Amino acid sequence: MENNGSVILETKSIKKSFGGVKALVDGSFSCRQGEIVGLLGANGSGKTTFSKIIMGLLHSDAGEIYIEGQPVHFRSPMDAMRQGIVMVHQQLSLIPDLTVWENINLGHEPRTKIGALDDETARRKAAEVINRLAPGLSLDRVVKTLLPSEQQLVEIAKALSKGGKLLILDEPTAALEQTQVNRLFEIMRELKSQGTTIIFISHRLGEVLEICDYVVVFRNGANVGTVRFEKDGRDENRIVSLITGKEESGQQNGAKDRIRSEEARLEARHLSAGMLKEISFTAHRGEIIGIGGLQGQGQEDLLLMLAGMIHLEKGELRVNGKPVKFHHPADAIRHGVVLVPGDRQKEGLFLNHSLFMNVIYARFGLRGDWLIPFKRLREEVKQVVSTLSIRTESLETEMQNLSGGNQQKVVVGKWLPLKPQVLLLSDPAKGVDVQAKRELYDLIRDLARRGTSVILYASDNEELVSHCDRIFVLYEGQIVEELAGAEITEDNLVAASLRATVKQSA
Amino acid sequence: MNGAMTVSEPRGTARLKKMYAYYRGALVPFLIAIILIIAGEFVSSGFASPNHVLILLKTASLLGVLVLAQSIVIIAGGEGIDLSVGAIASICAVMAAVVMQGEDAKLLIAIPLVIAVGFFLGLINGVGIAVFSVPPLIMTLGMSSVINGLVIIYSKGFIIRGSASKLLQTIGSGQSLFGIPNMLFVWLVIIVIALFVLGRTKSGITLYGVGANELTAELNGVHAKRVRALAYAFSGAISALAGVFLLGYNGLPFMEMGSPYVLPSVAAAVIGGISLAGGAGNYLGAVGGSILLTTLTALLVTMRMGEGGKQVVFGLVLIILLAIYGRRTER
Repeated sequence: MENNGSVILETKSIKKSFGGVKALVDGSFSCRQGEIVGLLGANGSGKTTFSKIIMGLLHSDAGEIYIEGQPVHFRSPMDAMRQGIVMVHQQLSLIPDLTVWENINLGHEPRTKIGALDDETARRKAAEVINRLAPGLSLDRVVKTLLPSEQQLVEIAKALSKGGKLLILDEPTAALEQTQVNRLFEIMRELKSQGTTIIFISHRLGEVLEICDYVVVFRNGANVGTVRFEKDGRDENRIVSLITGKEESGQQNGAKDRIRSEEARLEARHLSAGMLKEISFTAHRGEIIGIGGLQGQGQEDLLLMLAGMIHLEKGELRVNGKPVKFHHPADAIRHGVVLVPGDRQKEGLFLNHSLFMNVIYARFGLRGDWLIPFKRLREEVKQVVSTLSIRTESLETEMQNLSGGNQQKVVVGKWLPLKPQVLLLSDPAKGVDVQAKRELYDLIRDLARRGTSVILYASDNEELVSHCDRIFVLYEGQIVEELAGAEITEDNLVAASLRATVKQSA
Repeated sequence: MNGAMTVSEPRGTARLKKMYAYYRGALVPFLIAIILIIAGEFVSSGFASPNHVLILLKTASLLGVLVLAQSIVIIAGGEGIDLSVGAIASICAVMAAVVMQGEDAKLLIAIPLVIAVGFFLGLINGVGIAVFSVPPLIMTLGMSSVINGLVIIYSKGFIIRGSASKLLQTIGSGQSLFGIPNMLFVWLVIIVIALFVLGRTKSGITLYGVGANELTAELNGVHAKRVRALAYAFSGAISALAGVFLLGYNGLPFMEMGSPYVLPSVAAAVIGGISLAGGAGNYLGAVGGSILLTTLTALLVTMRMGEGGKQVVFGLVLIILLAIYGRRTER
């Protein structure tokens, strides 16, 4: 059955660049009244940029937007809202110190005849939507005391309470549990039957297959195809290949030239902590292990746990065959397990201190000289600077005056004098230019060749595919699949990440 | 070697240049202090005489020791501040006086005892702040009130029986070589030790790291909470030492003798370039800050300004100085 509702939204070749980066090359799209459309694409494919432009949060460089056939130019989200377009954002827009009902009514508070705030109506409106979406959640709770999933529900409730004919949901389910997702889907179906159009942005293919009428796939900033379930069937593989693209990608796996050793460096047995459940694996001497999967599935937590920053609740960890317990990063460092954290400015560096201080600080977790042997360390730091070709005026240069790539080199390089056994890397090439990225990975491979085992999380699949011997796919804190050898391709990795979502919600 | 490396070992003049770069920020308060001293000479002749300057420096030294205690916790970060430095100095002065009863021999018992007490009181501050997350302002203000109360309970409001020994009085208020006050030699030793420990040892650099970025310090394997708690303990111990010098300077102990120094100790540290955000600045600047503030007070007294006017001008000058400093350090 074709949907014969009128066209609600139509966009024609929207373009948007940030600096030199083309985020959106050809954003063309249309949807009709009473449809649920899945908007899919890998990270950086342009879906979020696209929806922000529709909402008036960003201004397009070129292209046209039509709402019910009329051309529109939104200057701000208020303009879009007046046309009945409402969005639930990936980043929550709630005010932490206000209550649930106050947040839901924020920005469109009902007023009494004389213009005062009408709290009674406001509460009633909030109660209506909360009772359906999150029964049992008190309206008077302050938002900052809620669980992340409850906050997400309030965010959704806030959007729903505004009414609107087009609802854009950007990854609304990432923080939700299954029963909450089911309740949301019920409401979405009801809205649909009332004629509301919904654009559902998600990485979870399983959910998209369940709730949507059809999907539109973005890749590299362009609409690359539509799969109509009525006509084409719910063909998961076809969607995945649209998302990844058919061209052979990133086959130069650098792992090939290394000799694998069977000597176990790090053994994890049934590790659980927070969202991480039953993590078991062995990292061998000289091996580079990748941690993949969709964003936010516990990859960063896994590294923090191995580094002693998140405490184990259950399970056993061995380094070089010896059982170890890490109560603090200091314990991990003493056993040669070191971490390059994901946010170098907040977690990796002292920005207003010198390069020298930043490098030598890495040894302060170890027992050692109270008097700093400046002369020896100066030589050591110079060595680090030249090994990594860090571009700096002097060893006394403050970190904040170095470029992002050079800063990152310092975060990695500070561990070199300690000769780490296990190097944990959390998205080391994030925001780093191409050349620095290559130099970093050259160094990492070199360390592996000399026996360090490396555990690498990267948000960019290509980095994982080109450098890892094995890749573990994480989903909701569990290892759900392992890729090794010839299986390691970008397509397989994306497919495995998405497959996990289907298995779980089936 | 590739072109990226242009790092060379500092030698001779290069080394001096490097030290100048490191301590350059510390020079400003010294310069302002000198300007104030010269201005004072115009107000009242003799203000800039060597003798008077030495008196100024001697007064500054008492503040200066408390400023060190203050600087350590400010550098340790986490909105670090210690409003109990004055109270700890007071109670330790009283205890030292009661223990030594004017006898030189008992100095050897009194000094280690009060330093231990100061360390312990500071440690309570530190544990409250680092472990139980009590805001430093509240924790140390509360501690200050408790300590001052204890002194009142002990003395029952009467004069405290006890006094500084002869030797301590000589140290605190006497002078020797070329008429230079002994306290200045003591202060010089403290300055050298402080600059060395804070700038050249693992403990010192660790402290700066914890103050600059606690999370980074933790992930580098440093127990940041432990370091911060210890910073308050050492602040307490140094405050105790300052109390001993105060006793030597005054001869007799009295209640709340350290209290007037609390706010100037914060102001002098900040004027000296120690960032309230933590993790930056060095004690040499704070030494300059101590001298500057002492000189300013003396100048206002010399101008025969009444107590009210003195406080108004003092406060205004503080605000202006800090506003100038804030602009300078912002990027």
